[in-house]
Amino acid sequence: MNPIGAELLSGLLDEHSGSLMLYARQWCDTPEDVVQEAFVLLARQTSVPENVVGWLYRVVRNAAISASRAAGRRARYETAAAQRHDTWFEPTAGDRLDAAAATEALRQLPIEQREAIVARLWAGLSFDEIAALMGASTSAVHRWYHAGLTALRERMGVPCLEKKTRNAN
Amino acid sequence: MPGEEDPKRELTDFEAELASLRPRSDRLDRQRLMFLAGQAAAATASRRGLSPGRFTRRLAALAAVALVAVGLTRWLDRRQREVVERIVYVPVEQAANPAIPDNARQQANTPPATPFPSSRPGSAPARVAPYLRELDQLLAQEQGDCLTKSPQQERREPGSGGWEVATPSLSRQSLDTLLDELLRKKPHQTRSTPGASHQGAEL
Repeated sequence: MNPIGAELLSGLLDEHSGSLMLYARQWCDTPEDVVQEAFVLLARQTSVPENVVGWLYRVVRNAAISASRAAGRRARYETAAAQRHDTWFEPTAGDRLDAAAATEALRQLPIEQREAIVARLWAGLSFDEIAALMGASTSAVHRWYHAGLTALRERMGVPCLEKKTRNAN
Repeated sequence: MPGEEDPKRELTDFEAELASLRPRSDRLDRQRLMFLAGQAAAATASRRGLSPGRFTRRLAALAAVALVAVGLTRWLDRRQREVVERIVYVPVEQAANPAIPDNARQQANTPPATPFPSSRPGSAPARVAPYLRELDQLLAQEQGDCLTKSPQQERREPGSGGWEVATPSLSRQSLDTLLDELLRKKPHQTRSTPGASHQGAEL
């Protein structure tokens, strides 16, 4: 019997497909193919990987980078990413942050900061896992993450709490 | 202080707001993905279904075929290297050809003229012409006679016969002259072998 059952696959798909696609979008413009390939590869495994989620993100990262290299689109993608208008997030009326604005702000970040933020916020990986995934030190990932968040907040125009308090007074 | 906000706290609030955004996954075909995953899992399971016994048997058969192939290759290689060279003597019977005269046929069968051909050790007697055999016999007799010849005879002119037999550097012409002289001297011996007398006359 296959150790990767349909239930496990379905659960992983429900929980991580969106964040995996967002993660793959950092490199390629066909994230659905990359994520599908990763899940098919998981189904082929003879044993369940120790950290299934980490394994999936690693496979998605490698496949996305390979896809971008094969198509020769990576450089063009990174430079022309800001010109694209499809949003990376589902628009929700009750959200305080605008999905399109968040997408645009994320796109303008350097790839290291963007990857660290996506892996931390939407994939839920720890800094150690992100460091192993990116092949960098944990402190470097910390630095990229905080620098990216600061840049995002500035670009999205989110005021600090202190400023908000002063404005309220 | 209560009035001051922690920057980390501000960042955490912003993180929470960001994390509340839901990534889009509508472009992913869930049904197709599950179908492909099931197909891949079934293919993997069928590949794993190869039992260890069958695998061992296949491996053994593969090894046996490889051994046979190596053995045959070596055998062929060795066989190509072993080239046996043999000299095969084929007895050629003399065909009766009336167009060729007897003396010419005999000369063709006669080996090249060398001094004392029949006296060579191991020479085949069938290849020696009869007149040469007779010459050998006569020379053997004359050799004995020469040893007992008188000094008067030793002063004879060269080419008149007799003396050049003792020397190994005799020419064919001198031998012929000697043979003629011997035949004249001892006609009774030549008469005993008519073929030899005939050849001697031809010479």
